[in-house]
Amino acid sequence: MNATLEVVRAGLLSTIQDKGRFGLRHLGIPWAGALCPAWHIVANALVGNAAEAPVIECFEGGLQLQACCQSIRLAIVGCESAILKTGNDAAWKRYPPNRTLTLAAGESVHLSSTGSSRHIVIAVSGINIRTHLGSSSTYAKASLGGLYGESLTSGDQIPISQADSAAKAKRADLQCHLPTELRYLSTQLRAIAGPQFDHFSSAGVNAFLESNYEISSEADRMGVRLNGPVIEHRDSKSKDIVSDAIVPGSIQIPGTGKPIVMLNDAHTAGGYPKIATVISSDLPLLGIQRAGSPCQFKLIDINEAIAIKGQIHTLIDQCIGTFTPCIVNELDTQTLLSFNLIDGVTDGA
Amino acid sequence: MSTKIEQVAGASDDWIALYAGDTTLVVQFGETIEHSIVKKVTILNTRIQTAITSDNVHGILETVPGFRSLAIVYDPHILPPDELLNLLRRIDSPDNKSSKEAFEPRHWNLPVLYGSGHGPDLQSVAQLTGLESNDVIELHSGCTFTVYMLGFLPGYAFLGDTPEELYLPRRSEPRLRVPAGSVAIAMQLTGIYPWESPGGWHIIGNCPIPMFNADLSPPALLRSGDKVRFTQIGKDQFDALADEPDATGPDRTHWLTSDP
Repeated sequence: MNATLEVVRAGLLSTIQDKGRFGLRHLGIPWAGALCPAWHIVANALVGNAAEAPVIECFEGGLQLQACCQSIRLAIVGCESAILKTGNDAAWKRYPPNRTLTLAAGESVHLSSTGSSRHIVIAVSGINIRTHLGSSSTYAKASLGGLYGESLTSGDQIPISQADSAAKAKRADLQCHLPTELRYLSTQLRAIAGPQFDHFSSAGVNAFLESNYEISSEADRMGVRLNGPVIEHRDSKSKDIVSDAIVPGSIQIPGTGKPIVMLNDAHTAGGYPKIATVISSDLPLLGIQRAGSPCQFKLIDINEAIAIKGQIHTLIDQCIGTFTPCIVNELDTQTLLSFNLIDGVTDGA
Repeated sequence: MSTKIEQVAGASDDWIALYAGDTTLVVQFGETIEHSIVKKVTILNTRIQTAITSDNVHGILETVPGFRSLAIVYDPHILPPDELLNLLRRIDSPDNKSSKEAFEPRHWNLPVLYGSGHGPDLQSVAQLTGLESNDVIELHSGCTFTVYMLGFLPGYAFLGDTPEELYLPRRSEPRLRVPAGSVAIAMQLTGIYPWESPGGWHIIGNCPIPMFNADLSPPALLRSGDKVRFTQIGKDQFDALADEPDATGPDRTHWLTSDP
């Protein structure tokens, strides 16, 4: 029987994502892909997958996965206060994220909370999902990627390549230390001016640069609406433009003056002027932070943005180079006392 | 403010280059929808594709043609923005005639059932333009459209120009559900909906040929720069095409025509 990871409960919005589907924007197909590329890469490295392997990206708690037929190793990367439970209904053990967890055949992991962030990434050792137009990333609008072109639903069986997963599950569980920059706790969104920066009045530009904005509850993989002071257009003619390219990070200002920052699943073109574009290194923050989180914009120049992008690559490499075996296992001390502390540490490390 | 706000990365006689973040440069030829501007976008796009394939240029990840601009997605660590701008100036120079003619548009002849249940706005378009329904159909199927760009939805093609007699602003009440295949007009543009979606354009007919098939490569039937003519078909032919497995299968070439 083929090994699978069963989706017992799908949670709110859990999708399969990889680094994205590139080269098709000219046909109106967005990249999709992991909202936080750093977490995607680190999670895959923890379980020994290729960096570009697909992962499960999920929002809020609720997802429950069960290993069928064989032991399966997962890695969960996200906010430190997220809570995971493994075992079965009678005896759950609680774990922090940013580590691997090895499920024995029949065991489940239940993501009870994503903690102070909105989403979390789960890599699965040996995950084996076909690509669709060059990527496994789910883009439900065009029925692309994932298992069936849509988000995960209860009862789905995620195929695991057996040899791969079984071999890796014998090694000790690993943990990672995410540096501050890869935890995306900052409230500052650095951005590059344009393409329609000149469509805004000086009062509008001042509001944009000097105000506190707040992530609203209208946030999904397409984009995030922000609440805060109105960003005034230069005049009424400046409120609409002849549609041009949108990229993830585009800060659209519709007639209401309230910014919408576009994310990975956004349309490839649109008719609202864009005052600036959030740099790719800061964009994950908007996929991760919860409604109500404050943020401020800061304009930087292109060369600074490129340098930051390079630093993020270095930080990801360093993080991957400093994985350590898990020492502390569970979160709950009471359960901890009833559990063999040596398990998972000595085993094959 | 300490940051110098500089949004124009570079310019030529014909365009200005604008940053859209740290990995995209937008080369803008104008701010209106005009056939002549779309043509410039198409030529630059073709020249860039030629540079990638024959001049071995690295670092350009993809290009996205729009009505009045070409977005170039690049890796700034392989191709820094000033080198990209130099490349653009070089390939855009008047001396570079080689690739100007390299773009060969495909010519499509697509069947459309106008009016009845499939074109619910044909009557109102006729009323609003002071024409008879038959005149609307004759005008719309009597001209050759150019695919100006794809966007809005995967595979959604914006075609222009619709004959001037049919120019109408968008409907004041957008529909929540526009059926897949709908052929719709607004101002100088005609669109074909690849998917059921909300939409505010006037639906005058339906084309039974799928605009998007994720199992084919490329998945979209049309691409920027293609030429399209519409041919009126009757209900029987429409039903036959809509039911015919071949119409949804890989043989799209059936709808190509060698006669521009």
